[in-house]
Amino acid sequence: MSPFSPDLASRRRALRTVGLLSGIAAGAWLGAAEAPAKLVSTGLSPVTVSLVMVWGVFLARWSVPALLQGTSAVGADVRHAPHLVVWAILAGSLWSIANTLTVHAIRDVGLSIAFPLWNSNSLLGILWGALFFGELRGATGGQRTRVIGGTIAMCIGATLLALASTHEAVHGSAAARGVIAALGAGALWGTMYIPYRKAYLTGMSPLAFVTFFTVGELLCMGIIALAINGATATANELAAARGIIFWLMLGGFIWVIGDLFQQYAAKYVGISRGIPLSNTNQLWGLLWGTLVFGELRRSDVSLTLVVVGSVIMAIGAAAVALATTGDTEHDRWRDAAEHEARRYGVDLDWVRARLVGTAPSPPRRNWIDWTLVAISTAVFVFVAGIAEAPALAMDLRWVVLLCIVTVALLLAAGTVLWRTTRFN
Amino acid sequence: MPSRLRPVFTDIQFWVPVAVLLVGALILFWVSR
Repeated sequence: MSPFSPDLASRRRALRTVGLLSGIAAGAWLGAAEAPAKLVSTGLSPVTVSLVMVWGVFLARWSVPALLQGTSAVGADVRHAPHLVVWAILAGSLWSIANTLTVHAIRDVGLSIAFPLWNSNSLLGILWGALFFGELRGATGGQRTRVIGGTIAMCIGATLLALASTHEAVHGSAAARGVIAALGAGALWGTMYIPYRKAYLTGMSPLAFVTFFTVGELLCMGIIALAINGATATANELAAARGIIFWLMLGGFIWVIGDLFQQYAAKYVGISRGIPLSNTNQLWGLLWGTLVFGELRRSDVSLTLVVVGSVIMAIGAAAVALATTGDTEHDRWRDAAEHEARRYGVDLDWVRARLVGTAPSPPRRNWIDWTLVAISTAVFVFVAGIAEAPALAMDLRWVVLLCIVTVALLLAAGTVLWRTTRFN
Repeated sequence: MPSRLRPVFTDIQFWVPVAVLLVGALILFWVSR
């Protein structure tokens, strides 16, 4: 479809629906990713926990794109815009340092303080979106108010939820360290959206972007583990904890599905709307914690605070979702995209077509793709074989129900994405 | 360096994340002590 055909307006509306659905599915999957990690109370260092999660992430990021579009589509994207590989590796490095910082922050100040601090990343995302990519420019006052007000409401709701659902005491001298770690994670994650948006304005498919993103993740995480813990200590920790590797890697895998939807949301509704929507992951994390693991059955938990926090967060998310992207704002995005294309010498027609989610040919799978999928599956089967059954009590009825809802969201968002963009 | 990569290194939007990454790495080393 030509990006300049008369039905451009209806195409933009369809892409907005794709972006919003992707943001909602992202929240559910990013929230579900916390569940496997809850199954293991580890004595592992934060760096090693993060390293094992990144292994799962790495396998998922190579096998899922191979399965959905094939590595030939990834190769075609790279040939059109090779500079984006640098951006993807940079984004992966930002993610891995932020992820390790959050593990430190939770350990030092508890989730109640750490989560709202790093959740502020959505505000930073809005700032970068407006400053560098023309987001919210051309938007009406009401649309701006809905995005910014909704995001602030979500931060307030997140704070209330975190206060209600955790009750860790802050350990004196570690407090400042934990707060700085959480703020650092927020700044890194908020800034990570610059490379995201950059890639999508230039037309790259999210599936191609994450394939290189994960190279940055794995490299950066490997360097961190070796520099901070050393090779021997890391190997010893991993050998002693082999029974829980599967659960951490599974968490990483589920996280990737959520992150892929987050990437599509960033592409089709921009980072100022996509990121706040996917930050509803805290609501889903709370549902898993409450219904499956019975975390709120303690007497000192304020149910009122949980309900009020959830309602404020949901209202905030709805406000952001309803702040539709107008044609003027879409035109500003297109200007930013054309600026990128000229700067990096990328074919302007290709950029325009990819911006509205179209591609010249349907994806084809080859033997490399099936090999990647087979290797990932084999690794997961192997670590599952040596995994220890979790000792934590779970309500299996809720596990089944939440899994059904989460998978239903995957199918709904995935189907709309496929029909509208063929995963471009 | 391939010519198509050259504009990356004159792009302010590249150096902002790089600066944040370096600060983040320093914080990580500090909290890991």
